[in-house]
Amino acid sequence: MKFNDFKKKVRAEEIETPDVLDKIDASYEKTSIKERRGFHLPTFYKYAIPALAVFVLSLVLIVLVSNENSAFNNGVKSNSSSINTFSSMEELNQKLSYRNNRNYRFDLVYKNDMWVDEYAMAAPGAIPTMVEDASATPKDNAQGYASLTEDVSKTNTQYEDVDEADVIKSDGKNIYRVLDGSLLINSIDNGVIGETVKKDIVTGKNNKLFNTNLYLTDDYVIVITSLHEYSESDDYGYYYYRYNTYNSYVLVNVYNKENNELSKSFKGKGYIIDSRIVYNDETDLNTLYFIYVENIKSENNNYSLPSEIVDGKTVYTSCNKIYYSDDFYNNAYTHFVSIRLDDELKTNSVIQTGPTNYPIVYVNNNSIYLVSRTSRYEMEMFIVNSIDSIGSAESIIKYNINDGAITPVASLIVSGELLNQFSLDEYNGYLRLALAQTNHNKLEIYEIKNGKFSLTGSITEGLGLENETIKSARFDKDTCLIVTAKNTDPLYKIDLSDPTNPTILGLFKEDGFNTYLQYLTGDLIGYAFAIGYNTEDISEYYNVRKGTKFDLYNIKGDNPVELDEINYEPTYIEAIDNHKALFVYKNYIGFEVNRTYYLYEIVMGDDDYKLNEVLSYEYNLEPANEELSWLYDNNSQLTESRMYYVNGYFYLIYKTKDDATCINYSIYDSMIVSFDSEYNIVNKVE
Amino acid sequence: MNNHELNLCVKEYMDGNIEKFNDIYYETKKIVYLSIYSILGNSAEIEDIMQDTYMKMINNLDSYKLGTNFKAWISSIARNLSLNEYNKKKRIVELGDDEMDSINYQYDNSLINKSLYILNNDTDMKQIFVYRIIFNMGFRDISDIMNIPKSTIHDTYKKMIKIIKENLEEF
Repeated sequence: MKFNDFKKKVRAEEIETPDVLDKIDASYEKTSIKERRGFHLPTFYKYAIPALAVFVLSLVLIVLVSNENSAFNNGVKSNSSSINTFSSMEELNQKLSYRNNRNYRFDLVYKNDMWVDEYAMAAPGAIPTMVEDASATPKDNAQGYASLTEDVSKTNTQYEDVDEADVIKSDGKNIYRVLDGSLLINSIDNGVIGETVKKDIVTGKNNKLFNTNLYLTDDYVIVITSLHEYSESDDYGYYYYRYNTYNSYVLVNVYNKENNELSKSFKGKGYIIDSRIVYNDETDLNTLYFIYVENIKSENNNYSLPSEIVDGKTVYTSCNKIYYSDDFYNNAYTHFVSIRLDDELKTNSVIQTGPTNYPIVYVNNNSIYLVSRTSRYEMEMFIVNSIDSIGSAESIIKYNINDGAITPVASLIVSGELLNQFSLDEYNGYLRLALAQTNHNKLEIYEIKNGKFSLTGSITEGLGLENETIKSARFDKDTCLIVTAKNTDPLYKIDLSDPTNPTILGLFKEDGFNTYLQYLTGDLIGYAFAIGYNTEDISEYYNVRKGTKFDLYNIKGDNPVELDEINYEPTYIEAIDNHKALFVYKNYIGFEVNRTYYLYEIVMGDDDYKLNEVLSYEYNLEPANEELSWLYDNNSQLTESRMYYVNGYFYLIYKTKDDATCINYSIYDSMIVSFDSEYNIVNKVE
Repeated sequence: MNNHELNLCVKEYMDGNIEKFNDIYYETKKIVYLSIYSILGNSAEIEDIMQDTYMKMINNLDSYKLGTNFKAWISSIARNLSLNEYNKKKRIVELGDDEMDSINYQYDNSLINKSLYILNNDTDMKQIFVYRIIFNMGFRDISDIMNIPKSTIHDTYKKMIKIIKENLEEF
């Protein structure tokens, strides 16, 4: 029986319940609360009070609406567009050729309190596809914390219900990893690691995978990768295949976990940008969402339509189903694809024109946001405080997601730079942004009104000392932590409980700066840790990195307090800019530093918590090509190590040999080591 | 009756329409009963605890926030009273020589009873079975009823499904 059928049968069952109504009647006089209080609201006031409230509310709304249309809001005007579809091939060709052929410096004129491009297309005749913002319904986005009672650790992600792809995954029964185009599976049981089972993802020596990652659900193993089909004559060197994206494909394989057989395969022309699996706890459904970019080919300003491969055949999408936003470049096609991870594995896709890359993809339970970088010289659609303010700008687009449905909402341009996915957060219908710009760092809060983003509140002063820029940010419901740096590293704690009035509560100054912040949970609520750099000043404006560090903070009060700090010599570790390289489980934190894996336990010291090193395990990484062994001398190659905790045992997986210089970057060998609760080695398997 | 309609009933009752109590009672008695049944099984105290649940509901209706999930609210009352009774019985057993009767469920072909029997060792799993499988409540509401973090509810739910699938002959 399928579990859904079981649920239906259970719900349909008749249940004989005892009737205690007479007992209740007999034992308690049924009165309404008001009668027991002896208070009644006179009928007149019953209607007058609500009527008065409606009148006052209307007055407030009239004032607010008129204010929204005023030119400037704190001197910052953001530009937000709705998202439309093309009405004809002619319009598509015009839009694409306009963006691709225009001069580097736009010609702008100042009209109606904003900079406008006189050559821009007028609003097209296509029917706008504005939608109600589903995120207005508050949904609790828990942060990436491991469950306290679970026996199996998980990938360290931004949100608990949104899984992120990684090179290695475990479900507590097996460890899955990708090695040189194959999926490797090892069973694990009480520290014992089973023999490696190998399954080819693609066949044929001319198919090479890159950017390959994995997901696991209860029923499926999902491999998501870019694939390059090349011939022997494509001998242009190391970088060719990675950047010759015209010969690249996206491949998503969904394997049934029970028998490792392929249940579904998706192939599209282009290269993968990012992906997530979003769990809907109302419907009990996991859905895979992935975004990839397909290059556009053109001839005499006639542009190719986006294509998808269905049952081995190329199918083209008509232009009236392609979305666009005037806040983005139109150099390529962005494909959003969803696969519902149920028995049917139904696929859905949405296409828009857009840039060739999105450095940041932010996903929560309800929405996908894509961020593309632009610059004031290239897309001057707004003005920021003073005309001298020169810096970067971000184009942001939002889509609603729900069990595979993908719906465009609105787009926005903001000034400043978003560092990574942690610089954005959507909570209770508000989009919060930590925007880095030296001496002009900002925190901005937006909501969707009438199908466009509208600025609700901001902090534009006080974030960062002189010459400082935001280096990291982390949001958690009603608070936010932000680090700025040049000389010192103030860690700011910010109160976001009132979206119209975010407030800096306090700060902690230290040397160096942190690139990653994470709130801790469970018994460690009120604490946070950070990974970052130690620095040395070489001038008023610049510093150099002298090593890396790991900090533990008490953030219960307004001013964060540093409890412990550990310093490392290497100037780079994977955890600096890849949160998935961190092992975070209960009060354990682990990560690799230069081919030594460190595991720390957060323990109570004399007054407060501190870091206690419980494991340091060293290993080597060798080059597959011995002639290039000199590249590995300074220990700078990443070993992509990961740790998992399963039922009392720690499992460490790391690369032992790779060929990072070859045209087909491959991992040749990796190792799995298990440790018991006393941190002694139990088993080792290649 | 959906949650909105139930809330309208509750509001009318709060405003003085005492007849609405019957509607509230009949709409909620199944979940109240199963909240108690999943903890205490075939116990002589079930009817008493049901009665206590509704009396507590009447006396504390001021604390209910209109517009929220009323069934979840009244279930938390039933659950707390049941757990008190369960713990009271357990204390009596610990202090004396008598063995506590294991929780019994009706012996029949009902999938509900079979499932509760299989999950008998884990009160949380039984409760999650009632709220999620029978009443299709969201994990957030279940977390509020049981006062357990949502992530723990998720994980226990998944384990519960596994146990049911492995032990129920229908699978």
